[in-house]
Parts: sequence; C-alpha cells; structure tokens
Amino acid sequence: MSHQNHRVSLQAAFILHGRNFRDTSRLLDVFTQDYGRVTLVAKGARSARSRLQGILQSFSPLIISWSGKGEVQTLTGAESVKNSINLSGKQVMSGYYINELLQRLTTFHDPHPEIFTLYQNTLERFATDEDELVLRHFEKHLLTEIGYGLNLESDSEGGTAIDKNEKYYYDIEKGPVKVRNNNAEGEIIISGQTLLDMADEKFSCAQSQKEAKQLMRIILSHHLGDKPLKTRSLHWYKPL
Amino acid sequence: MSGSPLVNQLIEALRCLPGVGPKSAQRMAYHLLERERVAAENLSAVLAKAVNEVGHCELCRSLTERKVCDICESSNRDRTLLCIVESPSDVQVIEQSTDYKGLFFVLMGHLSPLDGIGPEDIGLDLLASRLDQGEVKEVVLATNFTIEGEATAHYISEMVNSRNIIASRIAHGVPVGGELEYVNSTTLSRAFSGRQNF
Ligand SMILES: [Zn+2]
Repeated sequence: MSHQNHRVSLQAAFILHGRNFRDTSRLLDVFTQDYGRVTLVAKGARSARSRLQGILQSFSPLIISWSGKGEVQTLTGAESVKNSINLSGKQVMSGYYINELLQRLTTFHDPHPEIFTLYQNTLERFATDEDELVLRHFEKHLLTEIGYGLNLESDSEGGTAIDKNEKYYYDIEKGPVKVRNNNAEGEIIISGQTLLDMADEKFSCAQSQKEAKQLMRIILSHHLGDKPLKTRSLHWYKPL
Repeated sequence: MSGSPLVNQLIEALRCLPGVGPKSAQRMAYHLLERERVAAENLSAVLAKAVNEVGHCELCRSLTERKVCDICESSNRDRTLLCIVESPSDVQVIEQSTDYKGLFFVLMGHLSPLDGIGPEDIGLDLLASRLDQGEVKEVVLATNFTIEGEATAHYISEMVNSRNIIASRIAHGVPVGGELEYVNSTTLSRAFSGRQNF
C-alpha cells in the first residue's frame, strides 16, 4: 500500500471487530466497499461525550471517512445509515461467525466490492430467511469470490450430472466423486440431493441441511488451515 | 522529568489510571508531594490495604473484602430478583440511581467470540448453579446495549428460560432530556420498535 497521506470520504463500511485501544480509543477492523479491510483507530470513541460509541457497532451499516498513512489510519467521521439491521441474539452469533470468516479468508487493503455486497445482503437476509440457509449461501459465494468456488453440478470423474439418488464424497481439489467400491474410505459421504440443493440454495430435507453443513465445514477448514475458528470452538449453541 | 528518580517513578506509576497522560500524572505527583502529604499517606495506605484485601464476592462476583458482599448478605433485598451486569461499577450506578431492591450478578465482562471469551470466562457456570438452586424467580438482564452486551443477554436468557425462570431486559430508547434529531438512527429505530401504550 501507499505511504502517502491518504484521505477517503464517505465509504460504505461495516465493523468486523473492535477492541479498546489506549485510554479512550477503539482499534477497528473495518470492511469497506471499495478498499477492502482496513484498520482504523477511532480516537476518543470511548469517552463519555463521544457520539461515536453508539454508532461504531458491528453489523450496523455505516458511512465512514478516514485519513492517514501506513497500516493504521484514523477514522475522521462515521454515521449510521438509515435502515439499520437488527439481528436477534442467535443471529448475532452467526454474524460473528461470518465476520471471522471474512477476517480469516480476506487480507487487508484487498478491495472486494462483490464480497461487500454479499456481506450486506447476508445480514439483511437474516431478517427473512432461515439462518442455516443464509449461512450456507454466504459460505458458498465467499468461496467463489476468493477463487475456491465449489463444483456442485457434475461428477468430477467422468463429468456426468449429479444424480440425486447417488452417494458422493467431495474431493477438495476436484469436486464430487461418485462412491463406488472402496474409493471413499475416510471421506464424508453425502447424497446427490445435498449437492443439488447446495447448487439451488435450498434444503429439501433435514438430512440435506445437515450434510451441507458438514461438507461446508470440511471445505472451509481446508482453506482456513490449522487454526480453528474461535466462533466455532466455544459452546455457543449449548447454553449452560 | 524531575531530578528525583523516585518522583519520576511515581509519575510513571500514576499513568496506570484511566485517562491520565504524562502531563496530568506529573501534576498529580507534584500536588500530592507539595500540598497533600497527609492525604497522600492516607491514599497509599488505603490503596495498599484494598489491593491486599479486596476480592470477589462468592455469590455475585462483585468486589468485596469479605467472602460475601453487603448486598448479597442484606436481609432487606428481594432474593427472588437477580440483576445481571457487566461490571462492579454498574452495580454502583444502579444502586445510586434506581430503587431496584433485588440482588446482582456481575459478569466482569461480556461474551466476545472473536476474542475467544466464552461463557465460563464470565462466570456463567457459577450463574447456572445459582439458578439451579431455585431461589431466583426473575433475572433482569442489564448488560450494556452494545452488540456484545446484547449477545450476552441473549445467551443468558436461554439459560434462564430453559429453567422456567422469567428473563427480562431493561428498556432502551431515547434518553431522558434527549431530542430526537440528535439520537442516532439505531437507537431511534429501537425506540420505535419498543414503543409502549401511553
Ligand atoms: Zn455479592
């Protein structure tokens, strides 16, 4: 990135993560429409008189401005956009999960306007669609945008169309492989129906919903490497 | 910089206080040493004693020098009401500004998945066994109105509801004395969705 002084005005943005910084400031990991992820310091954001505190919240669509040079630049203005997104408590947990996926699978200063739109639509869809469906949609399109798109249409060995009544396993490098004899040892077996549902972005049954989640988890963990996701390693979904 | 290493050390030490930069730390140090010797001695004695003796209440995790704090021990409190807050200073302000007469439970933080802070880190295992004892009939969720505070309130509400105990959330909206024009849009939209009969 450039080391010249930099000034950006009125960018659409979301805060992925924030932490307290020095006495009264916040250090923010921000996902912006045209500049990708940037690290910004919100000076004085925690002081009692600051109006920023209520505004700088995750999952809230913002319009922000910043300036400076180097890795950490300074937030110079922020306002929340009219139609704010209200997530329920459980959806907030899902929201943290997609924030963590973005943090792990995208890098700073790498513009991704299409992922920005995907992210915004995903948060909005929580209001109307089933959470699991929203999450699978986000994961699938995120993988496509970062160059790891899934093959859900045809058997990668032989190229025949996926048959909903057949069983497959998913080879990360190639795609679905029809199960025959002992070729799927140690692999997670999924039905053709699940692959077709994932292509169509629906679940035709509980089994397909469960298998889609399992398959996504395996594919994502391949791309995430050894470090597990924090939002998946705690017992969030099983209250004490 | 003063000519005394000890004075410099004091200035440096004072900087651990919130909002205290090098300038104000210097002012404080000189003030204590030049004009307030007696008060300074008292401060250092009380501070040393507090640091040594103050720990966390076994019941509510609030700060106390005894096993159980005054509020938890009092016979004048409604023991069926339990208010959940993030920090001991929240207990303080609720005591000073409201006529709430139930008990408290202090989380010492909030859930923060992306920082790896989970339920046990904020004492929810302790809260669970407290709820299982059956004395508490209503849990008042008074965590902050931040995303983390809301997520924490949600998580606790599930713990509470699964035990057939009532969970309530303190109200939020336009501040008293506030003008609509100056309220941020999230607050205003919440205030509308949470409107009440009048
Ligand atoms: Zn106590």
